[in-house]
Amino acid sequence: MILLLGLMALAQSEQSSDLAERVIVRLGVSYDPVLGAGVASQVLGADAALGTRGLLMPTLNTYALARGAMDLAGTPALSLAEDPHGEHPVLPSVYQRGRTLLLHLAYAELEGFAPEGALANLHLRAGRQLHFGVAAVTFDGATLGYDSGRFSVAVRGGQRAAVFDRASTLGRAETNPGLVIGGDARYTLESVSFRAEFLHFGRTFDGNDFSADVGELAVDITPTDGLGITARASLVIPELSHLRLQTAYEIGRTVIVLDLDTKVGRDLSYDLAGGSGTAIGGRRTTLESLRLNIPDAQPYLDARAAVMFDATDWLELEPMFGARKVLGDDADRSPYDADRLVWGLMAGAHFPVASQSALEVFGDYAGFLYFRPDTGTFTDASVGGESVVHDVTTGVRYVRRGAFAMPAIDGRLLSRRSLSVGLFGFASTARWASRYLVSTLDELTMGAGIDGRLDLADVLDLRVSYEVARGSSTFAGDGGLLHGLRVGVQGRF
Amino acid sequence: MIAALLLVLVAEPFRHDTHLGLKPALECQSCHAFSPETVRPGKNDHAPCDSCHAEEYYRAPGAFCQNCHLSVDPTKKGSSPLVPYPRRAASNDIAFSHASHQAAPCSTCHDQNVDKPTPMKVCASCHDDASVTSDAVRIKKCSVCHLEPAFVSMVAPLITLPFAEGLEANARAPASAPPAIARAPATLAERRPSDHTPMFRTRHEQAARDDDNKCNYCHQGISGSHRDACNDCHATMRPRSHGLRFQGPRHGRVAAESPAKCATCHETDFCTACHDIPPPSHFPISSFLTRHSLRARTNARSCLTCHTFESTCERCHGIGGAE
Repeated sequence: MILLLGLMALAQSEQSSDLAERVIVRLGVSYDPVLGAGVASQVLGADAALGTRGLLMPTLNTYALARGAMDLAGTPALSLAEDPHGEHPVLPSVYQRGRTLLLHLAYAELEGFAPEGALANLHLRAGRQLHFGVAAVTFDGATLGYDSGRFSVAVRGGQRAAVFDRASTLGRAETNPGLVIGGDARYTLESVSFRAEFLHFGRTFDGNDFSADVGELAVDITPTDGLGITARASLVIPELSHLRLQTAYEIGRTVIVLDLDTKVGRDLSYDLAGGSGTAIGGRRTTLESLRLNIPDAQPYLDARAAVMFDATDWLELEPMFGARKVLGDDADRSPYDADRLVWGLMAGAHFPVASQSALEVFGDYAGFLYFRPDTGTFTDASVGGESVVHDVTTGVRYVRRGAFAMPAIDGRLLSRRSLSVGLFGFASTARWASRYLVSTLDELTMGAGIDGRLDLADVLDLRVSYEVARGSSTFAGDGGLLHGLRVGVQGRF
Repeated sequence: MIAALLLVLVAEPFRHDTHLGLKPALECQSCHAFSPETVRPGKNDHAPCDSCHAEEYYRAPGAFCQNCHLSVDPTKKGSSPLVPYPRRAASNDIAFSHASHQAAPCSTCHDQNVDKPTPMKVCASCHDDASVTSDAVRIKKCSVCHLEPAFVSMVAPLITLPFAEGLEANARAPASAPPAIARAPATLAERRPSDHTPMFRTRHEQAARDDDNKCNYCHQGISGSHRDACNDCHATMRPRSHGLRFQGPRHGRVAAESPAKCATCHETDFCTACHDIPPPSHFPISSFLTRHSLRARTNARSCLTCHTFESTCERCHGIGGAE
């Protein structure tokens, strides 16, 4: 339907010079083999975005976004009983015949029902769409809204489109991912904006009702230039779920962020998806419940502070510190309910190499320190968990500017790049402690790679990346090396 | 000097909304003359302010005067310095001509709160619409509105790039002149915004989610709607952290502690789609029975994400099973 609208619009268009402004096209193809450490896959992937803006009617937009992939190496057996010596399947293999087509977006929308007046503020979007509000949800349906700038309101409804759900491909009797109905409103009064949202999820799965209502009330305040405060209360109705206060203060190119989040009641996370489980010899050995066995986290108070600033003309820094205090009872904790401290530093630097090129350096370090009461037994999921984690990611990139060059300002290249080549690496260490271990266990995961992008033309680029990574010998099979290559071509206008 | 600066910062600014709410209502043109030059209301011997506020001009200098003056000394000519006008510049690199936009009603760009900067999406409502404006002033041609003063004054004279000529001409031309940028082929795609630093790759969340996001002015192939902002790219492009080994314990820790972070891109079906098949650590599955002990003792929670003690462990470790 979307394609048809686009093609009709193209056919009726008389001014080809206008097309580039009104037509959206992005096509990409990639070949992505991964070898080593018990994995062998050759995923051929393609993604496409097609759309129009104001072609048939000035206010009509259409857009579709999809990604497809198939494993050329074949389809490892989904059932362990069929092939107990098989290699680990990669994601496309999860789906039937090792192929998948994920349709993320496909909609038509009217941004205004009339050129002027109140009708000009109406908007309607119909088709597969994403709503990113109190919950992220993709659904097949419609959203009707009114937006005057100061006041906006929208209602939406349709069938939830579980893009990644493979239930239907396995021929399960229950394939209905459920309904979504909801709405939101926003009113802005000078420097204060009020928001409210409600979403109803209705789903029955294997005969059980898993409906849920979620909502959010929020107020955004901008008392002075550069200072933004957001206070939010989210609900899994009728319970209060989270209370959150976020502030960001911008002074020149320095931004100070403070974030307080307290979990009061339950979250909706993981509650909407169904898994079919894994069977060996006709016996189901994993959960087939509606959710993975990840317990809802206990109430906690989370605090985080970060400062983003330019240390020099060429160096940006972002130190960060945070802490979480679990408020629930020790006896009710799972390993996920750990008090923790987190600290980190991100840095980005830019060094001109010559008049047409530069080096960019990026580094990101984060450390985590966890504190858990050891109250569990073996059958209790509170056993185990990391006690200390250090994550480091770093990279250096050479960039060369495009044909329409603009001299560097403040030592930075601001033109489009014609060539970009980067080296990157990461390392993650984690220390594990458990009453069932004689001593603590340290694991190391690390990897490195190189990637490059060459703009062959204004609308066409070639991308290549290679990564080699070593996994944890404890948790990732034999801990051997994984090699991944990705070659892709993308065209767009 | 410092006192004057403080006065500029703390003095109550002129309230447009108060004046626009009068009965009968004032029109913008009651005070503003849209000539090529920016003209301060009141410059013509305090007209038209004195038509309503005549009594203020017979009082001792006070707060009213501070709408326009840093200080007032009526005894000395020329000793009543003015506050900058406009008090709030739209941006230090914007060249905007009210004179060339007179065909549009003021409310096209301004709401009652005139003192707030007009967001760029308001510009886009016309300049991103080929049925309203010409290609010469398309929003993607950044130098129609944006200037780089330091660049234009210092560097442009030294080079002969057509882009630079366009910038320079645009900066020097009277506001009423035809857009010089018609000769300049540069678009935003050739010139990265100044906030696109190396750190922007991890800091772009708010800029992308903003109702006023401008991603599609340069990045082709995306819908351009703020409602699709995240999905447009992340549905088909992985974050840097999602490398070959991300599907190991690293992702579990992030997903358990901050599920909302995952939910930015993934709905929960994505979790179960993968967790319905055994993880890489289980392969080759034929020998996993003899290798699972250390994993289970180190991190039982990992096992219990998918298994239950009753469905799996108890088969061998339970009463009557293998030890």
